[in-house]
Amino acid sequence: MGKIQSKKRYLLAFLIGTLIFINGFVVTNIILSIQFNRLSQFQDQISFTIFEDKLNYRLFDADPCAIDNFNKISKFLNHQGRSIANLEEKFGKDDRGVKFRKIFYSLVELEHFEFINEINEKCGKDFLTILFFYSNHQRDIDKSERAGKLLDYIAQKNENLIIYSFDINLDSNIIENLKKSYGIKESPTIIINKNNKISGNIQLENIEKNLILIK
Amino acid sequence: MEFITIVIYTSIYIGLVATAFYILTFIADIKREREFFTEDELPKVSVIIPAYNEEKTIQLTIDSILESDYPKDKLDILIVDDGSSDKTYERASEYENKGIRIFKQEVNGGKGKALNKGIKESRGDFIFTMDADTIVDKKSLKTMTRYFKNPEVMSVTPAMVTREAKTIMQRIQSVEYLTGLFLRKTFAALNAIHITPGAFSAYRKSFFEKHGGYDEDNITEDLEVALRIQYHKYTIENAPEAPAYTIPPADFNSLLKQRRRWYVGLIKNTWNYKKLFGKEYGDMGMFVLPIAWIGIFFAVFLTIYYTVEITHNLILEILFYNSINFDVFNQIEFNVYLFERIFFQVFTTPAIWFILIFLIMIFFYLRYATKKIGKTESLYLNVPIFMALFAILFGIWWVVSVFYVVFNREVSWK
Repeated sequence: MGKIQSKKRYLLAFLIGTLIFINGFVVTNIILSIQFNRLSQFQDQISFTIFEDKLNYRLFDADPCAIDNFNKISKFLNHQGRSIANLEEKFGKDDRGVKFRKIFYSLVELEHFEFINEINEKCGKDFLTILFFYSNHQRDIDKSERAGKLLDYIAQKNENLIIYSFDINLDSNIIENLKKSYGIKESPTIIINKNNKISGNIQLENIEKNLILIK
Repeated sequence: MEFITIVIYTSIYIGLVATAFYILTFIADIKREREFFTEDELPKVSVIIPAYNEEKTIQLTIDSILESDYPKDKLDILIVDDGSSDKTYERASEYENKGIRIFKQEVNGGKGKALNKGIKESRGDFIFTMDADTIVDKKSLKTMTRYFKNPEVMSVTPAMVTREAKTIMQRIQSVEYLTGLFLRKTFAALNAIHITPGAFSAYRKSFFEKHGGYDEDNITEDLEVALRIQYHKYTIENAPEAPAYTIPPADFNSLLKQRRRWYVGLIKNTWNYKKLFGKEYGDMGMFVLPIAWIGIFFAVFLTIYYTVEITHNLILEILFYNSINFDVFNQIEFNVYLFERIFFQVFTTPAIWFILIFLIMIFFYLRYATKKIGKTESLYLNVPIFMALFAILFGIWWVVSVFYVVFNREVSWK
């Protein structure tokens, strides 16, 4: 009585426990890689489609009003943004691969944004756009998350509304130029249809009032 | 990495190592040979049933002992009515013609006092203590007594399971007790059992004669005896093939009161027997007890943390939904992308995989339990309820108990 039955058993338990523990992280990293590759593939496909459509009507005089891929792309943009946010959470904000995909995503958004504006002008469509500038730094994240949820809700209620999200802290020339262009100084800030700016405490009534005025 | 993430994964890591150790111990113990009393060697045993206001259940309890296959000439049954104000004494008295002895305490003095009275009046060399709402399988007495062949064994514990599972709380406890069977057997293999269930356990009478009876001022006198046995370096065995069925509390409040008494008692008694931690007490002192208390610490910490976190998030959510006039259905876009995102969100969280591993372990614990005691009802319904709610309840019970100890609040029996 009062003795350790088997020191070897403790060692074996430690090894088995450690192996299972490590494998848990290995498995999730494998799935993360799959998610990352899947996202990258989709992003490449979407950007390819956008570039192809754009070249068709810019170089080969295709009728932009007949192009309808932008609808599918709009829905997918939302999914892309959220997937990138998930990867950012898991890999970390400073992961090079995720940063690259995030910048790439911003470029794809802007291409789409430009195309939508052209369609509105040339084809008499009435798509509404919101540029959403957010931050995921500790002091701003709660306000930005709340604004993001509000915009999701509004997008669900308005079928012709497209929301483009940009991280104001992203290290990219395009983002810096975009911020300068719209005078973005704080987050969250939204720009409705290129003109109407709302910053700070973003309220539902404010956004809906602006959308009604534009309509 | 956030501090809470470190805490969670540290607790998971410790849980994995501990689980691996207990499984290895269980496997090693399968080959171990034990000595058992033969049929002829079975000694005289006394079954002491202390009872306070148990008129509804006491006859079933007595009947289950009378139906036992233990040799009747070696079976001594005593009822100690602890000053009941109902008809417990009268119900018990109906069995006097069957050789059952009944003692009446004029004043309610508590379970410890009633048990000590029973020990004093007992005629057997071995004592079973039994709650007046417990019933046992007919082979349990014999199965448990056999273990006392080893002179170092001072106590034998049964396969403690629940009698009925009608309410949600009872269903949760039903699974909890079943999963405990595996652990109790493993603890016995390490001689690390530190709780002998008050509902039904067996003791060598000479232990009480040498080291004193039950502590009459203790709210968990059964626990104190177990720790005392370990303190004196004797052995506590477990008989997983000896089922004993207890009635679990049916609702949240009565269950909370029970667990509060148990855990406050565990804290206070463990403090009194803190010498049990350490090298001197082998696997129990170096591993089983420290791991159990580390687990409790994590449970308390995580319960407090997530209560605050969830309350904070709930307030934010309510404020948000208030701002959109609670129009919930327009909040979520249901499409295949949503399910893909949920899938990746869930399965890229390592904790989910570890939870799956622990769920698989629970499945094996339950397989073991049902193999030992036979089929149990409604397992497929009870297990998901247990998975969903037990961890939360466990955290609440411990937080409340720690609060009672820290602020020195009194805990009564009922």
